[in-house]
Amino acid sequence: MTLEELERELRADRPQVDPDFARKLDDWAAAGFSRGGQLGPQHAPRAQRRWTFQPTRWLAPAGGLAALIALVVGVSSLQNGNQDDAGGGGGRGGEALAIEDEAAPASPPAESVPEAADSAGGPATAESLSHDARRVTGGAATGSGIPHGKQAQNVDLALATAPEDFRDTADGVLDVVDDHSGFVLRSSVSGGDPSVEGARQGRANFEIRVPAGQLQPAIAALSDLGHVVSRTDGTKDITSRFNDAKRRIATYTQARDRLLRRLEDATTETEQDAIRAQLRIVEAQLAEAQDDLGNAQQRVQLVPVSVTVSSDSSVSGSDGDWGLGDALDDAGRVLTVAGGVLLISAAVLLPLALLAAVAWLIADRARHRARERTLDA
Amino acid sequence: MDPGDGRSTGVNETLVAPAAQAPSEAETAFVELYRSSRDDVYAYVAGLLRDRSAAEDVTAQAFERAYRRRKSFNPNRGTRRAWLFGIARNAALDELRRRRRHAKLATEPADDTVVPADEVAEVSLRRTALRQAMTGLTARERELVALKFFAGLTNLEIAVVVGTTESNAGTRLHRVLDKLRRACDDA
Repeated sequence: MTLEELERELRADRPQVDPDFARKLDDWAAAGFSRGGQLGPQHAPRAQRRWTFQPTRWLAPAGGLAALIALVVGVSSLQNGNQDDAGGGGGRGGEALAIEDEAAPASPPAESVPEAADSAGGPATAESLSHDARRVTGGAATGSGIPHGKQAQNVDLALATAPEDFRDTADGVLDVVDDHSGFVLRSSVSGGDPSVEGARQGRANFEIRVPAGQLQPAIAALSDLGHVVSRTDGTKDITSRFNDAKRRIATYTQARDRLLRRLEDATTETEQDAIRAQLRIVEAQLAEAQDDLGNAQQRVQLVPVSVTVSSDSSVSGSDGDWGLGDALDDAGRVLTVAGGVLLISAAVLLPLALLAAVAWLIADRARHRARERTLDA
Repeated sequence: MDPGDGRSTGVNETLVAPAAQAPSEAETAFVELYRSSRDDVYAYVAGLLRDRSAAEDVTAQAFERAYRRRKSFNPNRGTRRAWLFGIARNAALDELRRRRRHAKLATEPADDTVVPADEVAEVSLRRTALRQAMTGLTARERELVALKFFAGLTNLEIAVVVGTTESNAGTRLHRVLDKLRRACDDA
């Protein structure tokens, strides 16, 4: 058989389509290869009867899931960020720290503070004083992540208000101090009168003391009064100062007791005068040590807070007017949040998409090899 | 060798697009492709699978897949026919894999092609010898024969379908034909 004859024979022996199948296939094709199959169960495409890997079928749900996760992560991140911003800074502020929820419940009520301070009267009460101080400050120290010991806190808070709100804000500071059992050590208020030319800009400084147990609620209330420009929290460990004062009190108490016993036993007037002189010195030293302990105790109990209020024409007032500037601010915030969500979503989706693409390529290559192996088997 | 010798015949029904609007370019091209390739695809798949029932299933499946992916055709990667036969090849190989996974032996082709009574005995003998020789080919060799003589693809189209060069496809095809010819001569 020649090559030409062979080729002719092969073409002549070509499998022919069954007319019935051809007609059904034509009908199905005319119907746009609709799902469900126009060829009937016998001729239904096997792809419809069994599972096949179709990347698009899996990428859509996977992508949707990834987008959902990204959205949740993004929103929760933004919410956390907002909480961090608003925790100590109040509604209009934003820069303050969020520690109030942890510290406040663990601290004793404000009424216990004077009692503790009053009990610092003599050496016999030093221990109870120390105990009270620990009770008062321990919660705050632990709650805010500060190591155990005697912690002296201080807070500097700078607020900005609209010029028309300046006076109300300054008055509000005093109200907050009263509400939280604190007191004003020094204050100065100047300007801030919109009706007086040259006195529109106002500035007020308050040096206040707030019981440690009321510090965080008080700071939160102060932050609500205006826009928080800055807030600085400081903590200093004065445990050694406490211990030193207590040790001195104990030492001088023992010395005084010894001198008193010697005074009882003294027989001569000269000897008694000498002991009395020593006793006066020791008692003076003891009083000094007790003062030191009391001051340290007070430093822990009463937290110095410096509040500065300044009027700022760029800060929107609380009169409820909502203008174009506010709209722009809000639009900017919305765009920032939307951009953040998109960025986070992209950060989550891009690696997932890359992984999916690599997985798809690997699966495709594996399928291709498996098919080729079929021909060699 | 005229590649058109094996092209479809007997396609006499008009494919009617159900869409209310005018068919797109991809739609029109697919209709043309279907008309010109329906019988060729079936012949290729049947030659590869040697199972007429399975060939019908795979043919339908191949056209459905091609229809769903009709917009993904890239002319830079070959002709439409080569693209279609690539899809048909994948469907056919998937079917072969499935049958082997299920431990079923591929059935021999149903030798139901009736030789017309008016054909001379010599033709009948030659046809029988050829079919016998075809059974001695491997699946890969049988595929080349099916693509070339049953489906009527050019060597270039075959190369695109099986993923090789045109010259390599021609060389392999020549070897298969030599093998077939020797087997027929020995019969």
